[in-house]
Amino acid sequence: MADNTNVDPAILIALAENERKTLIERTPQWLLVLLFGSAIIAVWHAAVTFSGISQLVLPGPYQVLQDLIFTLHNLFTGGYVAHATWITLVEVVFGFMLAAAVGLGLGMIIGATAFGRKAIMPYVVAINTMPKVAFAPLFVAWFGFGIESKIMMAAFISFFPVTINTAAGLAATDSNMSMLFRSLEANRWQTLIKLQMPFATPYIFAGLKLAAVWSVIGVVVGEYMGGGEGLGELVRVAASQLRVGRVFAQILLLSLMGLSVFGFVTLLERYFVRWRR
Amino acid sequence: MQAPRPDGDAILRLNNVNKHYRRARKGQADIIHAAKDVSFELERGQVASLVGASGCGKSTVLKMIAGLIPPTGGDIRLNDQALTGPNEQIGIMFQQPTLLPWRSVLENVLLPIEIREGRKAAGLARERAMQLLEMAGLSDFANAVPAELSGGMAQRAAICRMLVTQPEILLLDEPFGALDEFTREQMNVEFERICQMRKATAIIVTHSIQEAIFLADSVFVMSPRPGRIVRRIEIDLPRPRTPDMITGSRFNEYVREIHDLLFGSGEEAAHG
Repeated sequence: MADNTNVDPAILIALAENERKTLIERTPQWLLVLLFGSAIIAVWHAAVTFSGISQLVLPGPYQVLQDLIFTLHNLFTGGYVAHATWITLVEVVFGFMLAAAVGLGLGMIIGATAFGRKAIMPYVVAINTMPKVAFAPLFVAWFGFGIESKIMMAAFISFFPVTINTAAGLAATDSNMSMLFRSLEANRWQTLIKLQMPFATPYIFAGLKLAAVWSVIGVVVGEYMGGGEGLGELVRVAASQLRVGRVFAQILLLSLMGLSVFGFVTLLERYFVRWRR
Repeated sequence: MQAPRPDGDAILRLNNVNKHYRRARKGQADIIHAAKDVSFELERGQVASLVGASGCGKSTVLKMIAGLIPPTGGDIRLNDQALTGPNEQIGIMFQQPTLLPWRSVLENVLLPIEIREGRKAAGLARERAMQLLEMAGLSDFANAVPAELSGGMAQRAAICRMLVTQPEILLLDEPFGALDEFTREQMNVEFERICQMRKATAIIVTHSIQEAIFLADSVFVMSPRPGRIVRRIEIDLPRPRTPDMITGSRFNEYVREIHDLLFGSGEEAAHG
């Protein structure tokens, strides 16, 4: 009941006392993020200025900003950075989609069949324990120096989280719900489509988000090993010329790309898992 | 209307039903006797409750009738046909509402029809489902998702889902055990009203003696493991049952009788 008229002022004072927050709790988050970032840049600037470290080894924030502006200008005026970004984006997107398809299929076999769980799962786990980047030269040998080897590398690195999460999600189905479906004489297909898959979607999306980030890693490793025309190749060249500021700017582009794919998956998740609170 | 049957009106008959479980422990297989020689008959329109301590096998008996677990001995007959698995004439609900969270309340109620007869049949049954939701006071929530429902409302939706295929027998496994005391009493009154309205045949598993008496025509009292039915008590209280009966003297005589069977004279239950 809204009854603010006859409240004892002592109670209001006590309430205000109860609700008192610290300075940090009252400050908006964006301001804190901005302040902390500025502090780091200030420390960075001071370190570079006073240590006398060479710009070739660690450029200061101002130099990096100049390189960033150059890179972004080149990107948006359709220069070589734009071409490299496009190539890498294509590789990431196809690598991610391949990983999602293979991971979903394999995960469904492992999660929904006893054979998959008992016979296939151990191999998937074994593959995951291998240092997968070590396979990069092989992928170049098998699939050439074009975008195919990078796509395969990205898919190879990132199919695992999708597989495991799909399988785990299918296996996690609420036992009461399974019992309900059995009492309704649901067949295996109905149980998979109407119960297990919807139940597993939050798990699957957690795997897809990991895969989104890992496929960027896979593409960059592929480009380091197999050359090509992507951003990874630009980073390699810039680093070999000791243009560290350029390297930073290009890595920022790569992380923005990872963030975009991640964001896209998050949007899909919001749509498909909107029932979850 | 149902035509009278030749040998009484027994719709469900359990004949010396037994259930053993195997439990592996330190490499040694233990055999657990969960339900022992359970026999009873249920007539059309009769409501029975199965009461006993936790772990006495009452849920096991219910799940065997639902065809969810096979017995290790004896037989279960529905309308004189042996039951070998889940059957569309049997509807079941559990302690948890188990509504699918990604479906609306109405779609949840229609789920049994969708699974048994397909999407099209489910579409045609919308009106029937809406009538059920109205009866349960949920018509305003037909398009809500389960997360928006309170515990009692979710359980009422689960009742609607159980009723939508118009099964001959309703099985309820501690249906209101997860609800608070007030909601539980309210649900008991409502469920009794629904049973009377539809002349339902039902078996309710519960560990609440009051609930067992309040809802049922007959209470089956079960002993601790191996679960046996030690007594069948006919509840001679007028319908509809009302909450004030719970404090009445006749009701309390039944409570005392069942309480004594469950707790008082342990020897009788252990040997018998």
